[in-house]
Amino acid sequence: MSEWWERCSGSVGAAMGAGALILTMGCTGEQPRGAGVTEAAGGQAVVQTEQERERILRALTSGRQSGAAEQSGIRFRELGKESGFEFVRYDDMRGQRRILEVNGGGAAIFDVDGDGWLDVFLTNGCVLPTRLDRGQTPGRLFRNLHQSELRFGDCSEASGLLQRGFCCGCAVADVDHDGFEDLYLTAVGGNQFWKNNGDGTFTETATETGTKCGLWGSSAAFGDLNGDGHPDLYVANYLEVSEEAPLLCPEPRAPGGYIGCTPAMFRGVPDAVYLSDGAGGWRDVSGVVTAAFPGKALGVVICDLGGDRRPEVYVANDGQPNFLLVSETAEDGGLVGLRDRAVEASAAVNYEGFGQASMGIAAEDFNRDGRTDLFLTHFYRDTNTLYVNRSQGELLLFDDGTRTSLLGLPSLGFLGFGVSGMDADNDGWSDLLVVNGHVDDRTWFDADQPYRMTAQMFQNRGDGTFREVTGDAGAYFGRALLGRGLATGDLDRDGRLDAVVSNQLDPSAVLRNESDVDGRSLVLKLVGVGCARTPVGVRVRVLGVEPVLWRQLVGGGSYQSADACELHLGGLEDREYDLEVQWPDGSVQQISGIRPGKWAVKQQGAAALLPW
Amino acid sequence: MQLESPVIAEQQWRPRRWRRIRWVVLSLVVAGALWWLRSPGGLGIPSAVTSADVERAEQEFRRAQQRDADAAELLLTLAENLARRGRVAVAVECVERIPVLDQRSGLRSRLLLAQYCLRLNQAFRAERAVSELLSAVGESGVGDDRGAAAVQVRTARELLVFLLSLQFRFEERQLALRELRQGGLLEPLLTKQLYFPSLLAWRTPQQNERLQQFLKESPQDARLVAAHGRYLLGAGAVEEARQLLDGAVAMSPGNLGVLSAALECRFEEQDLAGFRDLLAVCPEYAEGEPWLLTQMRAEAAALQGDWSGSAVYFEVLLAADDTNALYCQGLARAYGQLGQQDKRLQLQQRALQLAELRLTLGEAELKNPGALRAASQSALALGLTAAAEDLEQLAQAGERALRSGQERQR
Repeated sequence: MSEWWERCSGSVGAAMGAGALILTMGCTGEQPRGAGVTEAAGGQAVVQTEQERERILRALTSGRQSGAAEQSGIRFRELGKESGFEFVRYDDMRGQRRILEVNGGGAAIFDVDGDGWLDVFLTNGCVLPTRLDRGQTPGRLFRNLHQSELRFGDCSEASGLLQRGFCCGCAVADVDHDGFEDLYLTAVGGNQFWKNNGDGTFTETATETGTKCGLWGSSAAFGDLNGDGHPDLYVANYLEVSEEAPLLCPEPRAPGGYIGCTPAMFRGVPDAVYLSDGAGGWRDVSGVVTAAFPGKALGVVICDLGGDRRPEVYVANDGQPNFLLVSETAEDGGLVGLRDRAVEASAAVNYEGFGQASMGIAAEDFNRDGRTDLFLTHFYRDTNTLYVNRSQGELLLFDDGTRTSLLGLPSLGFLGFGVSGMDADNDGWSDLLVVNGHVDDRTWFDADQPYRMTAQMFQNRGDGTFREVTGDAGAYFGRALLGRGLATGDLDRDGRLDAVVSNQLDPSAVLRNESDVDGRSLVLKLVGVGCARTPVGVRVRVLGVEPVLWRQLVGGGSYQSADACELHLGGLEDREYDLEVQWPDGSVQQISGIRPGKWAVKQQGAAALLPW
Repeated sequence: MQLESPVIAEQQWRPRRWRRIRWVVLSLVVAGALWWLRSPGGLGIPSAVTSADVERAEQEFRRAQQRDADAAELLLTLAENLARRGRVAVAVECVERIPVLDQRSGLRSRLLLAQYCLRLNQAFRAERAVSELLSAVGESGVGDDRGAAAVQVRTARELLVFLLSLQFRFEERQLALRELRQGGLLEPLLTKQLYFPSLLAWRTPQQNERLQQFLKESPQDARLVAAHGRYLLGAGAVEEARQLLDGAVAMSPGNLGVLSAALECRFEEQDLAGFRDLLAVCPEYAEGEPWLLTQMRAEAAALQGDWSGSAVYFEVLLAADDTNALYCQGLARAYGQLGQQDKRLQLQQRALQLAELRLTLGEAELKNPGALRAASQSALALGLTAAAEDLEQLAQAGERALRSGQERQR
């Protein structure tokens, strides 16, 4: 008997029982199809005719056809302990779930000693409050031993890079033009600036350079904001918190008695901007940023989004609209302001109009239309967002391409942090690697909401869409972890981009790219002469390739991490190519007859590439 | 004088006699019916109710009211007793027998029916009971105690709001909330739902858990199935969501609310062929259709590059809910494509303001008058005067409550 009949039978039965008396109970609900009675759907509009209903039922069968999933060829292998890489970050998680504990750390991939092989640094936390830190948990520097198998040596102590305190993120650039890349670390209560001495050692200079900041720093990025040829520094600061008397959120039902307080319970703090004079001096000009602060910044990237060779700063805020800061310069070229143009560029909030909990940023030209797009990672049950760059001329403009790229739905069950728009399979199209993990263990009240989460890999199909290929990307992608920082670079110099992930609670990981690739690649290190030596914003285009194949060196990106300051151009054949290099100072160079190889150096002004 | 023939007299007497007998029988029937109608049995007593139950209810009513209960009152008392003892299904049978138009007990019977149905996880029956109650209010004279009737109507509407929220039927909820507001200032959650229907989180795990309880009881209720499908879509479980939503359409192809949820699924997963084909068989736009369907029309127009068409649909949507940031963004995009950059920027600024207001709204509760006041000011900045006034009143109420709490502590 149908439910409808059961609904109505009460009144019918009552009517029968009452003899001639019919109770007017009525049956106002939906009736099953074919009942031949007008449907009344509790206020919802309805289709009336049987013919229309039949057409609707037929239409249900049209559309999507799922085909057999093909292998992506993208595959990463996690290095074991025998590689010499072993690191577990310490975040002082002793049960009180202070908000300071949950953001984790970052990783930097850079060439410490100028030997051409990329080394790895991971930031570390410490016991809280930080005044109790006795240096038991320093950050670690792993030197690449460039053996046939990837091998690392822990040279933290020998390098003097003994990072103490509660460090979070990192940024890399050769700030003093000495040929060696320096390292800036964000931290709780005082950032650190490690000058690379060029002899394998580092010296901390934050106090003397006036770049300590003193707030809770998250990500940082270098880029020449005032066009003077020196790399300036943007520090993304997060929340106003107290180490000594932290805000705690007791919850008797939670195991341990505490839950993580939400960022909404804290005030945001302003970001910091430092201008470099190129000779080791820095000037705090944080006040130049207008109309944007305070935010709750977690991610930052500096790159040219408008195609005018002037860098913009894009800041990912947690639960608040993001910033798109554009430099305003005086006639003499001095920076007079950074103006937030995110709203007019449609890049402040997503298409749904929500200020999402933005964490990591990947800035790449995903659709190869010559403009740099932005991909942002977000909170659980919210989509990651792809802002497709539609800028034209002076107009900075983005479209939310999350849905059309098919990147939205697969991200809903994840909480993303670090992200890389790497071309993992060397096909010339930027793919996406995202590392995930919740900030709070909520499994005690919602079993469907995982704490640890797997990383995800999305392959760019080259038609504006991506497909998730996590399942066949390697065993690491089957392990649920608390992923935070992510940096990429060609660690083994095989022309494929590898990755380093900074995890919480579990060991961090080096992921060696062992993808089956048809295309060849060229890995370039660009050295500025007339512009910053780490020339953030430099563009390299492979001539004669359609759609346009190019890369831009970006400052910052991902989450609290620093990718290798190199450009990776995949999708090439085994033949000679001509390259065009557009330097941030406006000069353009063409280099002819370049054959894809593993890696090379291009110095501004030099006629040819320098093999390493 | 003409003598009557005995035969004729007999012939004339017979009909008269039969007529008398018929009158007697009819009188007896009428009297019996009248007696029966006045007795509890007049409305029928469920077989699961014992004579002891009835006796207890009669005594209880007499004690409380100093008079005998009529049939409906007895059924109500019975139902309340039974429900208290956990026999909710029998209580439902009792209240269902009371005519909704019963002067004294009609409204209360439907309110109790709705509440009992909720306890039994029967969403459909609960909603029907509320609808009957609200329809009956329109009938003159229903409810002998106007004050009590008003309370019952308000409670019923609140129940309805809960049920509609659970099923994401926001346009219907809006009507219920407006009617509720006519009765006076609403508590903070209802106020926020009334003025900002789309700014609050609407797919929570707790909500889904309640939905599951309802679905277990009524797995064939297309609207519940559709709501579950939308929940799963929001969680990224696309395959499962689509299966459920298509199933819901098959159960009730005529329901545009369900149909628009199936369309939304196709749109979200970018099955554009399926989206187009399903939209093609939907009826033409009509005023009062589900907001989600209009939104899908706006998106379909945008997909076809018909930006004017998309703008028109988004304008219609914004007229219905001007605090929906997505509608602002959708319309802004359309204006942008139509070269109307000023309008685009204006709408994007509004979306930004709404995004900021959304952060405040979450904290806006009576125990946090500051957040209520901040939300009020944000609402005022958005030109939402009525919302601002209500939120300010709530802020003041919150402050008063805090003050009196502090005084009590002293």
